[in-house]
Amino acid sequence: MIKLVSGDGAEFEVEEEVAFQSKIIKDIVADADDVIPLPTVSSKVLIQVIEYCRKHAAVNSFPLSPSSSAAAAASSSSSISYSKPVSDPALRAWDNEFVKLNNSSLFDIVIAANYLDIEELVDLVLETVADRIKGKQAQEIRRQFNIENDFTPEEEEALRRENSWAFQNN
Amino acid sequence: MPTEKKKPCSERDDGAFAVLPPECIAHVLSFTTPRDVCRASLVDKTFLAAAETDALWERFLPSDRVEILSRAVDPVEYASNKELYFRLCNPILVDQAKMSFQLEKATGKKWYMISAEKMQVTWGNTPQYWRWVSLKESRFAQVVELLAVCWLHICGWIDSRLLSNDTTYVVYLVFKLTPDAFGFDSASQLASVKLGAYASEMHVSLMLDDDDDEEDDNQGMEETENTKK
Repeated sequence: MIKLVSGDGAEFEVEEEVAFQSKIIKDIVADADDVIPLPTVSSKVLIQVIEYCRKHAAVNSFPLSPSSSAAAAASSSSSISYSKPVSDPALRAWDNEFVKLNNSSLFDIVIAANYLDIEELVDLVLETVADRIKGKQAQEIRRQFNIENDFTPEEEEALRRENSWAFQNN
Repeated sequence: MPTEKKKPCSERDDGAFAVLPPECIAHVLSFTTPRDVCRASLVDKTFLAAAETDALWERFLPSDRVEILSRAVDPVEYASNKELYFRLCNPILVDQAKMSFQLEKATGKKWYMISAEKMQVTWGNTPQYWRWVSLKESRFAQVVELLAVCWLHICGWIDSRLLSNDTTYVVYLVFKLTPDAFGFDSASQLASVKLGAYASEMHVSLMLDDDDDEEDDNQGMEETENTKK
């Protein structure tokens, strides 16, 4: 068993195969003890992340291939690395339920997943965010994610002209 | 403490992209389409920066682009992946100018055109039946003009591995009718597409009902095939 300690001091005992969904924890455990402080992760988010890891550890009961973390480490900063798509339909359905959260909850999870290096979870969450952007105009995206437009009207008009093809209907 | 209850996705909340590491936005955009990226670049300056990155456009460029560019007749120059993407949305000639290649702008799917010279045109080299001419509307140096035949048979091939995966393709025969074209209305023509064991045939008419479209007419051999890999 591995003990994870959230930023607000809550302790969570989890099985190795659950914790090892995180490549970072796997690396830490290899050369340290079994109590792992995660100061930047709140207990609320850690509970969600553990729920995800527990489900995925149960389904992917095979060990993570050692090459996958090496490949991720080797990929340069100029390319985005992606996890393998989830092929099990039941797990995919579970994932779809898991990400039915508001945007800020999703962002909290992706920050933790990024920190813990759980590539599948990062991809799952960011793809969910992408689905909330697809087919939308800039104004709708700003409204949905509470983003302030920092362009001058002239800059915005120039960008709109430059990308005019994207605003025409198919 | 914010509530942990599951909320409907569409609900507005204060999720701020600013809390994410900057590379996450490019990562998010990589799950959308080139059209979505260009729309989203107007959101704010952070989105604009993410929408320009090489890492993002890498995802939309074909994985075999190095090989495609090596087949280009004229070298394709570009300073960024985004620039290359839009450069390839206009056709480039490849394979000794016998084929053209381009990307479909909204999706980045691969699109090929095969020149008449690379197709098998029965009796194509018999001057009393067919004549090779150059046509300013054509991207290719030569097109073949049908004078008269009693047996019309045109066949073209493409290696399906050159095409985009998981994509439904449509095959078009691109041609132009001369003002005095005749004969196509007397009977329909047979069009077929084959891929491995898959084959499909349909009757089409190369004589169009109206002649308001004087440009290259795309008369569809509307056949679809699914590339798989």
